[in-house]
Amino acid sequence: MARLIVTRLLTLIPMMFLITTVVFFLVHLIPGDPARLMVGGAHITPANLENIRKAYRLDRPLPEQYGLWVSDLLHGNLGKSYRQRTDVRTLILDRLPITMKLSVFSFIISLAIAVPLGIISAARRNSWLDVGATIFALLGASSPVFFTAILLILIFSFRLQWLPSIGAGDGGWDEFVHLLLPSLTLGISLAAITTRITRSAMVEALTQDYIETARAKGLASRSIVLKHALRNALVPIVTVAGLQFGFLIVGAVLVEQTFGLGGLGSLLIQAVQVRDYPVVQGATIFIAALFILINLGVDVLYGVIDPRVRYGGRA
Amino acid sequence: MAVEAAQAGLNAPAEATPSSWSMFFWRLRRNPKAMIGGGIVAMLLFVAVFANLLAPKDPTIGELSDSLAPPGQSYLLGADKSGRDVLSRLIFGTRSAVGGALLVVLISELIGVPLGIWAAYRGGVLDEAVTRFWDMLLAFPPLLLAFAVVAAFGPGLFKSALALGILYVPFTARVARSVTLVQKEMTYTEAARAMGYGHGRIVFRHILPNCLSPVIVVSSLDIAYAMLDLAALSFLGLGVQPPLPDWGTMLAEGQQVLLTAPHVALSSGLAIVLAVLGFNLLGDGLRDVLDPRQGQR
Repeated sequence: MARLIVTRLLTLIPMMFLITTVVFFLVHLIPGDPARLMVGGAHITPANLENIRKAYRLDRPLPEQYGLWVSDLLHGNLGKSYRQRTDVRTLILDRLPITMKLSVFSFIISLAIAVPLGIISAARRNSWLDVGATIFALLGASSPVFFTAILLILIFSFRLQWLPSIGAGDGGWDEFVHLLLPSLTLGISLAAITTRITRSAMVEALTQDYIETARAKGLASRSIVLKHALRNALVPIVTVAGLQFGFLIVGAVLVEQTFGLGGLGSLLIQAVQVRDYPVVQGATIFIAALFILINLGVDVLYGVIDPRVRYGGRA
Repeated sequence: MAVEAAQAGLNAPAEATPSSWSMFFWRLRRNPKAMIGGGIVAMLLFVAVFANLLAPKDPTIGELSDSLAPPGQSYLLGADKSGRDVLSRLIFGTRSAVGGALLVVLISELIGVPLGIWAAYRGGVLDEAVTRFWDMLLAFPPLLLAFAVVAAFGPGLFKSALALGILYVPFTARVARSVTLVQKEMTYTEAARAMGYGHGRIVFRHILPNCLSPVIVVSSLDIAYAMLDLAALSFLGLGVQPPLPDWGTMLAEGQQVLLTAPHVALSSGLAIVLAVLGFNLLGDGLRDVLDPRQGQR
């Protein structure tokens, strides 16, 4: 188990290196003078421009800028925002809690919808419920998350007037209420794919010989489905759910923007719109690192669920 | 999803003999998913090509006095905030939606297919290195990197399609590679080699044709993903720029007037769902047809 974790941790190094390099050069190879961009259209003396270049190290050669940037990064320093004159790290850490809450709530909602739905539709194949679940999965996978958001706003905020449609509330219970609709939106989008995978994994498990044996022994249908089949269907379900958790963060960007939540995603999008490069770099790399760590967590979880992974090499 | 599709293709009839083609169409006609999806896709292509004949009004010029007019006689699907005809904008929006997504997938195929075949055919260290590299990229949501690209090069349909196309390369390359790995070991490839045929002939005559069907299946599903990604970029104001008609930007504009004129957001959102659904169904259907074993599930 420890070996599995260590080898997986080692593979993170080249991955993070690749991502940081790509993001750095992408942002620095663009035409135009970043110092001028920072001041916008404002008039500025050449001396002041020079000062800005010095302050943001834009006067150094590119490889040197890169080296200094990586070394800062390793010390947890993500640079300063061009627009807000604040540390990028502070900006990210301020916005992080709301994004994390949104992601965790949505993830729980998606599993709460997808796993029971997938199990029931596999156990009662071709029933009306199975057909309904299939249609739900297909539509959910085809609807952009921001359109699902708009539909839910129309229903729950405008028609029924149950839930607020914008903002993150004033902390505590109010914040929770404000997060319900965004989380439901993202949860439904994710549930679409997980339902499909749960169903097909369960169908596969239910057609195995040991299920026949269990039936022949006269075990109750419920116990066969939940104990024998589900345990064997768990690996594909965890795989997809884990991958989903990573993509959840990207979905969160869109959902935050739609509901005006002001999380990490909104920070990134606003930075892209005004070309605040240090923030774009910092937020992208931060999200990337989060994403990679979650994938690592999923890999380790396999080892817990499936002993074969722990002992043998993975294909 | 791409992997399943690739596996599906591996079992597909390889040579395009007349009998296997007619068999393919016979099975295709009996597959409801493929037929519905194919119908939607055909309709989208038709609308995109003949948009200027089908649209009742100019999609970029509006009557301010008709701002947010509800669906009715003069505006079948109503008017938007600037008094522009929503139906005409939807019709013209098909072009950027379908065209953009096709461009994304075309770019990823033009780079990915040769790259995948090359890596698998040469094998060894090179294959290892290339595969490792794209495995890293695969672990990543393309949209996230697309944000960084837009930050660097500015918004626009062509730029975002180009960026997404490059970010989709690993998905296509992986499929081409897995097919090539199998075909390389086939007896007929060995025979071709024994007969002294060059690498070029082996690749073009034997390996490339076998890549086609799995690549087509994956493409259809990738077009659906590309549509969603492009719509997301436009929705965020990073893709197609106003006043050009596009479903993603229409949805963003519609959200601002959601309370008073929900028809703008609803019609553009439903257009996206329908289009993505069409390509998803077609891809699923094609996979069922090319791999009956999976289709029975």
